[in-house]
Amino acid sequence: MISETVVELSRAQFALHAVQYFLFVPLTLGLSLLLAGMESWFVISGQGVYQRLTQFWGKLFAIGFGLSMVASLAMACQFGTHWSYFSHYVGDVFAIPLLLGFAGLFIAANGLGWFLFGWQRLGKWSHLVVTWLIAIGCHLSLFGFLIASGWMQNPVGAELNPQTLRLELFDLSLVLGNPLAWAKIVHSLLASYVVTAGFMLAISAYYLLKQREIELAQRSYRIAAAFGLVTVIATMAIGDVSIYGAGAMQHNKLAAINGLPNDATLEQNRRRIANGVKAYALLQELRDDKKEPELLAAFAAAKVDLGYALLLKRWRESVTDATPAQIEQAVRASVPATAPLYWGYRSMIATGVLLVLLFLAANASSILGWRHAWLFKTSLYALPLPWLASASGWFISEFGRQPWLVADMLPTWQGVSTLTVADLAVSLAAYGLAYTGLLALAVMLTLKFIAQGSVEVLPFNQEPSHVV
Amino acid sequence: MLFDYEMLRLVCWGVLGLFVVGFVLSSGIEIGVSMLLPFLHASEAQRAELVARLAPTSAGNQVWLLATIGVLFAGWPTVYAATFASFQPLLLLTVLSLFVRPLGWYCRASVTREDWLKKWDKALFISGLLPAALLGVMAGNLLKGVPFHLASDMHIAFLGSFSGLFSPFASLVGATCVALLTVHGAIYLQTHTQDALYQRSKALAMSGGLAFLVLFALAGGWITHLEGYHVTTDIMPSGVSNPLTKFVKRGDGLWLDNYEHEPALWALPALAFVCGIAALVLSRLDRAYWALLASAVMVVMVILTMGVSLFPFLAPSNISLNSSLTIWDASASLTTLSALLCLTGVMLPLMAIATRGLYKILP
Repeated sequence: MISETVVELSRAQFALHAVQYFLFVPLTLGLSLLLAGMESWFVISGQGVYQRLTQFWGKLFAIGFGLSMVASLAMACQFGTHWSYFSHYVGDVFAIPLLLGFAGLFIAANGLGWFLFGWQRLGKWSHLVVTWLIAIGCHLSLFGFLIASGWMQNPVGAELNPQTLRLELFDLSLVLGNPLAWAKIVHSLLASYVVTAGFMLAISAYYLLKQREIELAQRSYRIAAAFGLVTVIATMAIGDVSIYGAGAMQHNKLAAINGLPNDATLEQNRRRIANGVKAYALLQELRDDKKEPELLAAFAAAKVDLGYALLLKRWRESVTDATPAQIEQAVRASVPATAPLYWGYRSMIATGVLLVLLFLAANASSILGWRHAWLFKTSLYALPLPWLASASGWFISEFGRQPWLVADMLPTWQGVSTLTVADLAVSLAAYGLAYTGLLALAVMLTLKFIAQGSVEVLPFNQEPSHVV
Repeated sequence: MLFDYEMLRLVCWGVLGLFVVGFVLSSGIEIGVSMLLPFLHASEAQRAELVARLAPTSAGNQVWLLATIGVLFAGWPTVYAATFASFQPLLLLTVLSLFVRPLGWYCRASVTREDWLKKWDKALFISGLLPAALLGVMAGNLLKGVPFHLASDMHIAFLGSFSGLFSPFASLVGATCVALLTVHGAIYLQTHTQDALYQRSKALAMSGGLAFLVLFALAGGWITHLEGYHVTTDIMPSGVSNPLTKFVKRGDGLWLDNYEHEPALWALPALAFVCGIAALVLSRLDRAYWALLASAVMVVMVILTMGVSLFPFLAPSNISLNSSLTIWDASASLTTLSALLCLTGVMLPLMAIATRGLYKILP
């Protein structure tokens, strides 16, 4: 039996990496697009100020990218270290989109080298191509990672192979075209742009308050205000409705968000658990090298509910002889808790509305030329808002998936590695400390770059004399 | 379908090897130089230039590691799961020390207070030394066998301990790996420095190189008496991926089996030696560029030697022999391996060209 502490510690570890990831990836996504846009305008219009804008925001992009790399590396290892049964059970499907995400990350990471170093060495146009490649790479990596994460919510294109005891891919195009994943991609992308706009608005407002870098700050403020307003309205208008279109589990989540009773769902899950137990029993027979066609047919018919039998493993390792009380426990635990989802959703919407107001005011100010200190102060202190909205959205998505790791297929309880509590605690503490340190470092470096303004560039941009 | 299941498994195994090579060659330079930084007796201006040169490559180098992990996960999910969970404490230390870069390079380049720079030099040294040593220790543990057990429902039990991962043999492989990357880094420095710093790099390349040749020979000698693994039942290269359908035996010197059946394979360790010696001679004769090429070939040969010795195992288990994972019985499905091959067929050459290009525009 897997202990509750092991499961909770592994989940905490995943949440820690995910928080780190969701702090910085949205920022790099939006900034990469804006960098490409600003540099394109510099190349087309020839206005030098846009090159300075690109260089300044490029320095901050490099910090964000460095930190999102760190989180990706930790994430890439922790599926294996902490979720080894999950890795075995779904790796056949899950890892290909992940690798696609790494390919995107490579384009962006390698491009960043050329971007930082190549201002003198590359021509104007080649440098612009590099900047666009970074934007494409960042977006490709989000695409890959969200296809993988969307698949966990709506596992299509794969089925259980009784001989290998894992889910195997039968159609990659179903996985890549997963409608739920695409809805998530659109929603997360727009939300990421809002995060970037909020970040840019806050820093520009800081400069405007301090009366420094006026030219850079005014332009950045205008770009951020416009970009933010368009994207926040699009995020709210397209909404997350599309995300809840597919799959029974999304339906449960929606009910929880709206605070509706879930008796019908519980009843349905009770039936699926009963059917799942049958599938589980048949699977054991199949494992004994029996190959009768009737047996195979019966298993094929029942196997959609096999995951529901695995829910029972939390209380009864041998599944088939679970008592009615244990089955009742499993049924009750088969839907996520309502209150966190109810409030998580409302906090997301509330911050969304506040952000619309903020960006409306910011646009009005940059168009009408207002110079009110209170507006800039609000823009500055609103810095955490978009992150709050984005974090709530992520929380709804991940928490609403419980008790499943892969919807209807693999319960969270089953996915963990059976590491010792000491190992898990040490690893959690170490990562917690490391992330705190890195965060402090990133904030310090960001403040330093902001203090430097657009005058100084990173040393990699200067043409070095040869080492002598 | 261009390849059948057997061929696909073999080709994807080769692709995995190429990704390891790509990672070691690109990150190896960065790791090697980070380790050498305190021993170069370089002035602050020289250090700053070295940092400014390597910093832009750092993020890209790290993605080589990510991509290698991704290929292993996609190609052999169970191997990824069993080894990563078994090596959890080693990976924790490796990842934490890799956290220092690329951000550490930016930090070192952006603030010029002296006490700050000293601290960063130490941090960068550790972020070079630890991954080199620990990745080597992991490789050594693969040769020793990993303490995991596969239950009949494929749940993996982990029965090792942190101290158990540092057996004398695994530690020797770790040290070999550090020496290997030291030579590679020192020869890279030789191609990009002049005068005193050049002489210093040359000297470091020589001592690192001699250390590597001795350690590699020691590890080679030890392996002839180390317990190796062998599948005793018929191998089914196109069979289903269920690791529990075979029997495995363990015995002294079994890792040499492949070389006995295919004597041509002796060329791999031999070439590693020859190229190592050639790299040192060329470095001595001030042909730094050619020395770097020879050292790159040496790195490739060392990795190939490791892979070929293990073949067809990827992760043998030392406490539950029959749970051992091979390239034939722990791989992904036919569909996934095909997708993996298509994806990496595009990724690998582009990544290699882009990495080479980036190193090339650095002055």
